[in-house]
Amino acid sequence: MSTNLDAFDQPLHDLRANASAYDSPQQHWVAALQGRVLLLLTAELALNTMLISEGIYLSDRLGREVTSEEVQALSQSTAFAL
Amino acid sequence: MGQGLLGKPYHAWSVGFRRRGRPWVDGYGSIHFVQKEWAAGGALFDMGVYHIAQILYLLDNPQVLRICGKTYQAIGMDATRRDNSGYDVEELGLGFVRLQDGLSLDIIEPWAIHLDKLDGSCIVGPKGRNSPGSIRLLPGLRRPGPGHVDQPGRL
Repeated sequence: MSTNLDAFDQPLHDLRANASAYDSPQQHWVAALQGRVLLLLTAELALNTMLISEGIYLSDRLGREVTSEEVQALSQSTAFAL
Repeated sequence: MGQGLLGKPYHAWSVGFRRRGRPWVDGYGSIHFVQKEWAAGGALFDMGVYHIAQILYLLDNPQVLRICGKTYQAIGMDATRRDNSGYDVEELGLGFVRLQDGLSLDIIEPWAIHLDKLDGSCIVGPKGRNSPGSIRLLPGLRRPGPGHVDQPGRL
């Protein structure tokens, strides 16, 4: 069975409360400020994404698999000093 | 995902694809994309982070345990733009990640690769798969009713 979510888009908006909150990041942000939906855990997702990305570069450099603890210990900030 | 229609997910792919789309050296975009000093990385940081984050969100952001990765810059490019940019980032990023609860994640993110296409990101479970933008269940499989018990090997 397959589901065509594009075709389901209109009934989704007609039937579900707050469906428009998920049409774009901006609409989601406004809906969150209005208390209609919860915010996404973007900071936690970004940190985990960064951990994996840095892990790929570190693993490539070391030529072996690395642990998340190693990645965090060897991570060097490239942030500009203010 | 939240209703458990896939069963317990066990593997996912984070996939991007460009056949020949390296910024600057392939004819578009800013020179800063291909300079590690400015961009910190290539295809993985430019596009891969969006796909990885999307999959992590769908998997409820599981803990990362171990990572194995490899990056490449192998395909030739315009010599003038290579020289004046000092191109020093990857055009292809690959990774295999062990996540909590036995989950695994496969990552491929090319700015340039000699392939016509790659299937997009996807999560698989014992009952079906979820690609961002579509949900597919195995033929004949329906949402389990009350009292349903999984029978491995009978899918």
